[in-house]
Amino acid sequence: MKKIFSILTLAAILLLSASCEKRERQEPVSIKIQLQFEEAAFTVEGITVTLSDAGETTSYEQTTDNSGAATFMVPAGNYKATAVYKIAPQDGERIAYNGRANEIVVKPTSGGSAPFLINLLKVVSQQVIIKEVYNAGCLSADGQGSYASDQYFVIYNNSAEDADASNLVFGITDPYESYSANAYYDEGGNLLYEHESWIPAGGALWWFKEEHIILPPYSQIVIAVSSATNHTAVNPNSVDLSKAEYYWMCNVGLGQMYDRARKYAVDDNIPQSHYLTGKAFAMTPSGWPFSTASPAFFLGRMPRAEAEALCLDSDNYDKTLGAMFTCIKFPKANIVDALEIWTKGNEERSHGRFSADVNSNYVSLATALGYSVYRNVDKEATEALPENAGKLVYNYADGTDDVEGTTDPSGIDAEASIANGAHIIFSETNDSFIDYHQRKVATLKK
Amino acid sequence: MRFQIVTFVFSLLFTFSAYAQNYTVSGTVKDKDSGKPVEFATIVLESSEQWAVADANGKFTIKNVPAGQNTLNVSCLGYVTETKSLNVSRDLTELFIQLVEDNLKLESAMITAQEKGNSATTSRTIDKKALEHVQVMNVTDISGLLPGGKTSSSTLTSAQTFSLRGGGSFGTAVEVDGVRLTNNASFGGASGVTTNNIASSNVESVEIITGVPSVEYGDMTSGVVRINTQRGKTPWAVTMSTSPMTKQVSVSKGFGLGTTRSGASLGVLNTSVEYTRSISNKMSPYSSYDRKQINLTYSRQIAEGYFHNKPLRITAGITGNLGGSDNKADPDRLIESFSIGKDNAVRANLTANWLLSKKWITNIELLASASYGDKKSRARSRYSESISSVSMHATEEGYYMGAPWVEGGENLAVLIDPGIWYNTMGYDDKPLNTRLSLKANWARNIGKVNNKVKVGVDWTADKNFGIGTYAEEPATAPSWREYNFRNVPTMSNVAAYIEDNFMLQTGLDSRLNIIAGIRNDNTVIPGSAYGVTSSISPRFNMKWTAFTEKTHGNSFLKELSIRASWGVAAKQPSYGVLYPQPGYSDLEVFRSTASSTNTVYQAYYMIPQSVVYNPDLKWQRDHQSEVGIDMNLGGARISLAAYYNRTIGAYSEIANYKPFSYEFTGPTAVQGLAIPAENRSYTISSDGIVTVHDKTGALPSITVESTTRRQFIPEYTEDNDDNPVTHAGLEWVIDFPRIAPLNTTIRLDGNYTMTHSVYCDILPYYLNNRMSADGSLLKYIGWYYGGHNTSNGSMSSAAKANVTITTNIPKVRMIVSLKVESNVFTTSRTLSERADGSARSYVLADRTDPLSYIEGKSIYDEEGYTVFFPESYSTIDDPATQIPYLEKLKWAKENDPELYTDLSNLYITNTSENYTYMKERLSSSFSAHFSVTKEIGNMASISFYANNFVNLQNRMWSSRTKSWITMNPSVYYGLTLRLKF
Repeated sequence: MKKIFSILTLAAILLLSASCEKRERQEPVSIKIQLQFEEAAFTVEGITVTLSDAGETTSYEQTTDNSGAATFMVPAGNYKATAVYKIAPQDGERIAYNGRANEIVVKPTSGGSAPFLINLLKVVSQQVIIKEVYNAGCLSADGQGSYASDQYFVIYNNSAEDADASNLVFGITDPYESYSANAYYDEGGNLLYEHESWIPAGGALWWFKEEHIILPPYSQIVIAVSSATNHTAVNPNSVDLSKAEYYWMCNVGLGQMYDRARKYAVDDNIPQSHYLTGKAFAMTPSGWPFSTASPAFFLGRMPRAEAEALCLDSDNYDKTLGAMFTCIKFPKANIVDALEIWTKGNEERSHGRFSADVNSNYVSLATALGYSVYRNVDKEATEALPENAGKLVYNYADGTDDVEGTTDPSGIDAEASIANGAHIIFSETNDSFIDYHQRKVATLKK
Repeated sequence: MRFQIVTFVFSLLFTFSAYAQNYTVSGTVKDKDSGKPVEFATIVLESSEQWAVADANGKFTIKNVPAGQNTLNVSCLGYVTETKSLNVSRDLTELFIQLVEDNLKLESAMITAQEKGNSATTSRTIDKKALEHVQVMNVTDISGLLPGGKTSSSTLTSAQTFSLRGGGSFGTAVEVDGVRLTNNASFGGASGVTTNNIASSNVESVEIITGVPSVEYGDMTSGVVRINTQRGKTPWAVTMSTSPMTKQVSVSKGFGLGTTRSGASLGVLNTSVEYTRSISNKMSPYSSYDRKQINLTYSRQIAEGYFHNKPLRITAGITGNLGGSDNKADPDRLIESFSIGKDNAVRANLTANWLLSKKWITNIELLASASYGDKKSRARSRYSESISSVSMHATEEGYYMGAPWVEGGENLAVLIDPGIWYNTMGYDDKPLNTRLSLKANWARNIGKVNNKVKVGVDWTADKNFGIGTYAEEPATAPSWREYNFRNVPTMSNVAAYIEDNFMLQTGLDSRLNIIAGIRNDNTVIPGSAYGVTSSISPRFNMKWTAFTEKTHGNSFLKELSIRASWGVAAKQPSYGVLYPQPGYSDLEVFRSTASSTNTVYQAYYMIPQSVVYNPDLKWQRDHQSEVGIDMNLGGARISLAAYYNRTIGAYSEIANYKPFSYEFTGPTAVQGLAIPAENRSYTISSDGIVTVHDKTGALPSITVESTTRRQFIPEYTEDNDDNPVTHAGLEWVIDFPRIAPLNTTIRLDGNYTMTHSVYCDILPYYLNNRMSADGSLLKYIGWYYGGHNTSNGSMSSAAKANVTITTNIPKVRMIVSLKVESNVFTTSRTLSERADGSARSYVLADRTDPLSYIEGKSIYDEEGYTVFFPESYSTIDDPATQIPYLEKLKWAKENDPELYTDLSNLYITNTSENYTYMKERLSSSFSAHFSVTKEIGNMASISFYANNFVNLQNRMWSSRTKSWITMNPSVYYGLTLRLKF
């Protein structure tokens, strides 16, 4: 009997051993990533290329050789690769080359095959940029829900010269949310206007009412999107947007539907000259200029009369069926800056709404926690300014990398440095992921 | 003409009847096993419609029974109904009937819906045994027992209604012991009555008439569900049921109330008490529905004194229910918020059936019933506002400026401070439905003819004693207006009907049965513009029984009968249709700048939007046709029924539009005024001009400038939809002969259903969320064929088939059933077409250009983007003139860009779904359900069911959306223990 038991036990052990999955050890594969600009090899040595797996949990960095190629030894899998190359400012103009390859599929047999390509785009710095967007609200006063009528954004003069903000226009793309059905993608997953000279602008365009607005070097304008009121009076978690120097992305002049749909208000302190105006060519479903969850927001430069004519020109309407808005075709050439925000947790089902030459990536933002999207500091350019000596504050701690968010890799605390008298130059690569991070506390929150 | 023929036939029959002879039928009813008398057994002579109730000795007597063939039915709660054929040609005084206890010792125990064999239309009954076996918690669960029916695992937390043959719940009549449950006194619109507050444990049987019913039934268009609760003398019965979502416990007992000094029975009182509690989610068992019900039914036969030879049977019942929904305790909700809804009800009925057995009248029956509901609900909600908000309470058209609440003031527009607050609102709904009906029967045999005439009058009255919406904390309540239901006049309906049921014996076992009737309904609403509205509902049923097993028992085709029906039924509108709660449109006309405390004054123009009286409104009607065949083929009982129903004049609300202008004042008009924002108050004049005041009185008031704005506003009318909705289908039931060695029966049942509707009226529509190119609200309305929606119709067809295998093992008193249900196929298509089938929508060649539509290419052929143009449009300056749309759009594209932009707002496209008009074909799906009932002696029984027990999570492929759909419910199970003593 004992023998039989022993034999059975042995058989069971053998069976279990045989049934255990044999994990194959994955041998690293040598792959090459070639940088390319205008269909020719970008033969600059020393550019850092970052390769990260699809889930962005593991990343590898290598620098390019003199042929503009970087070599990696990585296990087979799906990867994304990015590369940014900034050249020293010349005559106050900063130029960067950046590129991204989203689908690098490394197979065990990929070793020695043709290199993967990253096409670089040339980004010339702009004077006025989007510095901060606070769109996702905060916790309500009783902690029982969200409070999201306190949206604002900040534009900033990222240069040492006065900037004319008079002919800036503000707009959003279609659809309203990054995770909504996007009619501008074909069945192959290609953005229909990727190679067009325009992007669809949805709902309305806004611009300043004042004839002349000069933005001094390294200064900013705060524009309240919803209610330009003192929100702290009803919710201590929120921000005060009632200051006379602030602007209001107002409904006035946009048409009667905005009066009805946008149940927002402006503090009596804020002069009428600070009410933005603009032209609506279709009403947004909720009447909000941009989403509380995942806006794709852009800053353009165009004379007001021209912008108004663009909004009224029915030939310029884009009536692509399935689009959320009636859109107008806004010329890419007039876009100064663009920012794409995706809701944290919805990245998997989101689609980019800018073509790569306008903005090539996104930044994630968690909703209703009082977080904002804040621009990263261009460390090299900022530290290169002689007037900043001794004024820069480091050890930035307002990022959200400690709560699975992002932070400013420069380590410079921009707001503290500005308060210290420093001039900050922010990153401009046309890549929202590189240019922005999720900030723990909106800058206007006191 | 039709009416005259019927009258002639009746007259003839009355004349013949005067010469018939009468006899006495009497006997004894005893329990077959014990030999004890069965007191309160009901004895009915079907042909002559005479009856008696057995006394304490089981004895009964029916006098004045006309000579001829008759059928004796003897029934009693807890026993199998016994049927005997009688040839009454002399006094039959020694009849001895033995009743067999109805339990699982019988081989004939059935747990499926049974065809009502003697009916000339489709009618099925579901008895207590079947109800217990499937463990019904809500009576709508029995829908799964109908041909092609699907087993559901519903809970009481969602409202359940009956819907027969796809006809909609609003038109389905539901009666409990003769008490009609209706939503006529409800203001909730055209929806069917919910059955959640009907106790399921004391239901004795349910009859479902899906064919053309007797003219006795009015105020319905889609079938009748008759629920009979238990009555009579019964032992103590305790039932305990449990399933993941629902628990139930009930106790019942039927008491004999003793005898009079003369020995006559004082009747019997049947009582039952039930408590049922359902939750909606096992993970969060806080949203619940409770049903606490008590039911008393008293019945007595009086056959002494004046009633000797003409007995009177009285049945009186009263049911009280306390319960409703409650999610107060749900910790997932916001702290203070809750939602509680009562579903209390009292239902009372009195039936007096007097057997006169006269030459000119057989029975007279009086039915009085009342059903009162207390459906009061309360909800406490959280409000959060960053700036002031205005709650509107005005009911008179005009401008209103929001102002802080003043105790005792008018408070027509209340300015509420910003912040977070909670407020409780209530809705008081107390419908009362009363009914009084008198019915007389007259039955006679003349040779081979048996004729029954039924004449009756019906009076119903519906009234609501609720006060409608109310605010418990008015100072912070959201916008609401008082609409006291008590002020709405009572709606009465007086109906008269006559029906002749003619049966001709055409052979030894063949007969022809013709039922013809007509019903006239008159709805009266005193003091209302609707006044009196009449409708006529003729109905005909014919059944020819060619032969039965009696003569063809040795043939392969043992039984054959064919039936055909046609009829009209009308559905009375509910209060929700005739007197919908008035709507109010509050148009913001002013918004101030904010003070430092975020106080923002706002003004509104209020436009009442009551439904306009429509003198042409008719009652919704259903034209029903049905043919059926019943046969016994080699022992297999086959029942087929094909129907074709058309709903005509369904109630619908339509909108017309009229131009409207008002004064608008924006914040720019008041920003920076000399009066500090903190000190301001605002008023608005009757012509819309805003004035700013200094609350301190230091500065003079300032009147600010406004601009005039124009737009269209809707005006609603209740109307009849002129486009019929067609429901057609086929139902089949095949009961194969019992497989004796296995004690097993197999039933195949199923249905094929088809619906088709296309809406063809040309209606105006105003897109109030669109702007004209100049920034003003859209200045045009479009006139759309079939309304403005992308589609104007739909068609669908589906086939469902079920197999039920039932094994009854009498030796161990157990019955086991396995039911496999399948959706054989389901197809549907969204339609956009005209009455003649021609195109209403067009395929676009270029999805960015609406004028690239392709004429002649069908939208149904392949996926694509489509466009649908209005027939014409009108301008706000000249709304009466309709301008052809498409022609103008083409012209504007070339000549007037602004007009082109504006008119572009009016065409309708299929938005993101370019498969909108593709035919949907869902692949087949299956599920299997198991039930078992076991009796443990005579004292106890236990039932268990497991729905979808093999967890067939079948995914059905949608050919339209190219995606998978999960169809079957998840595994669900339940257990019931019944004790009798």
